[in-house]
Amino acid sequence: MESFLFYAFAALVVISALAMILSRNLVHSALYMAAAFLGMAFVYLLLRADYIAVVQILVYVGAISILFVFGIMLTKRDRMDGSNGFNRYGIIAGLVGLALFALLARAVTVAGASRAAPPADVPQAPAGGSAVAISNLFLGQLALPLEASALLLLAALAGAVVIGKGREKSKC
Amino acid sequence: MQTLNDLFLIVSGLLRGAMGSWGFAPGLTDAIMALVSFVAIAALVTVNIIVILWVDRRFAAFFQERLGPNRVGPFGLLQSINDAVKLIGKESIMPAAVDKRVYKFAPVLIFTVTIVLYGFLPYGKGLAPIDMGAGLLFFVAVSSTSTIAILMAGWGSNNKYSLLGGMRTVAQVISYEIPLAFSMIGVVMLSGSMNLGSISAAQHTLWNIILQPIAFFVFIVASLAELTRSPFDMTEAEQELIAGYHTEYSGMRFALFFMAEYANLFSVAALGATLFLGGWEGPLLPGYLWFIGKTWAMVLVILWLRWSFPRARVDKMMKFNWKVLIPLSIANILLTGVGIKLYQYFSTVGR
Repeated sequence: MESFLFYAFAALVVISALAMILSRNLVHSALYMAAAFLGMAFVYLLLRADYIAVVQILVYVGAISILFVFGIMLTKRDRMDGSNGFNRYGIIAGLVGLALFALLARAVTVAGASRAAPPADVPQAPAGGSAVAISNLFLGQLALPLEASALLLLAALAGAVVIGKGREKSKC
Repeated sequence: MQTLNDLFLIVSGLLRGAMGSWGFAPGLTDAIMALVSFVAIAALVTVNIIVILWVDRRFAAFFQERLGPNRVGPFGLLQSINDAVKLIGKESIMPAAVDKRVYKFAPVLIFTVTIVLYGFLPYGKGLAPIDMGAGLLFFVAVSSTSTIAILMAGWGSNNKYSLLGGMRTVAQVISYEIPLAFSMIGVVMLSGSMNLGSISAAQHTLWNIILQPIAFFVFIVASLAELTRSPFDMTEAEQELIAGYHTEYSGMRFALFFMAEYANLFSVAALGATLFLGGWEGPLLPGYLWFIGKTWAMVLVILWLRWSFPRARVDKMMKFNWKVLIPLSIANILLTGVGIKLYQYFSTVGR
């Protein structure tokens, strides 16, 4: 059951990622990207990382892809066919992709070899889900990094406002 | 009384036992039970939509001193069923210039999201179909994905009014999600859990609406905006945008949008009842009856607000969100935190 679900969701991720790249229509690409994010959330759920899954849905599917689609729809005025064409960097992109794949494959094999065999019984999610453990970490041991990233995001937010406002042309 | 309270648990136990004695594999039993709860949720959604439609129309008529639908069946109760059959029978016209795949998929997606939301609700003690540790967060996350469907409908229709309606919806829903989520944080802090069942159980002695009046106010306002209901229904402002993102839809596809709107009304009301009115907690009556009753009280409040206020202006609505609701909800979080710590301090000093 578990592995069947995994293959179903993995297929969803891979197919929608491929469709995202191959689709000629930019809006379709963005929507396929949302589908791929959603598939990843399901995979996280299967791994019993329910907090990561919910953040994946909330941030990636619910906010980032919507902003993508929003931006594309607002900026493009003419017809969308062929808006996501191919360019001349196929070979370089292929090389970068292969290098990344090799890196990931190496990481997976090393991690798989160094770790002991997974326990026979599937570990049950702790009561309250992984959210409890993560929030304890965030507000205890990792409080400083959390605050630092919050400061970084605040700076980004202020920067976005400044850039978005543009030069002082009209007072409004 | 206890048997009545646990009625659904007993039925599901009997089903599981029967399937066990027939020699079904545990995985198959789980799958069949999931199917059973899906069918139950689908039935609940359908019945609710029909009833809410009728109540909405009669309630509106009551506010405007007219009768409303009262011809079909007793008190006009069968009017909604009539309308549903009419909508199914209508021709579903697809304009020539739409983006076909996006246009067709949008209503399906929006209704799927709606049905999934019903799965997270705790209908009674141990009666949440999807019982997760972070259930509340999941509810918020899943409900935020419906904006993609609205955007798909608005853009796929290839109509400027649809696109404008879709844009307005997304801007509004994304902005109001922030105070909505923040208003829930106070409740989560009080009950110490994000599981909707535990939140209900934590309100055994005192409902959260008494401890969290500010959060309740923010929740009601923000959920009105999330549902894009009046006074925040600029997304389908008839005078400006024809019907907003579903202008180009007809027949069953339009019906799906329409039904999703009313179904969302019920699920948000149910979430409010769980967070602030104690969910299934209550004396004498079985828990699920309390839950349904409180949810209907919330539904009536939302309908009441709809007929009491005129539509707000787009810019004023956005200003109200960013300059009033969000600071208010953040202040509420701060107050709740200080209050909890003070309560803990004084309850230990007193001992």
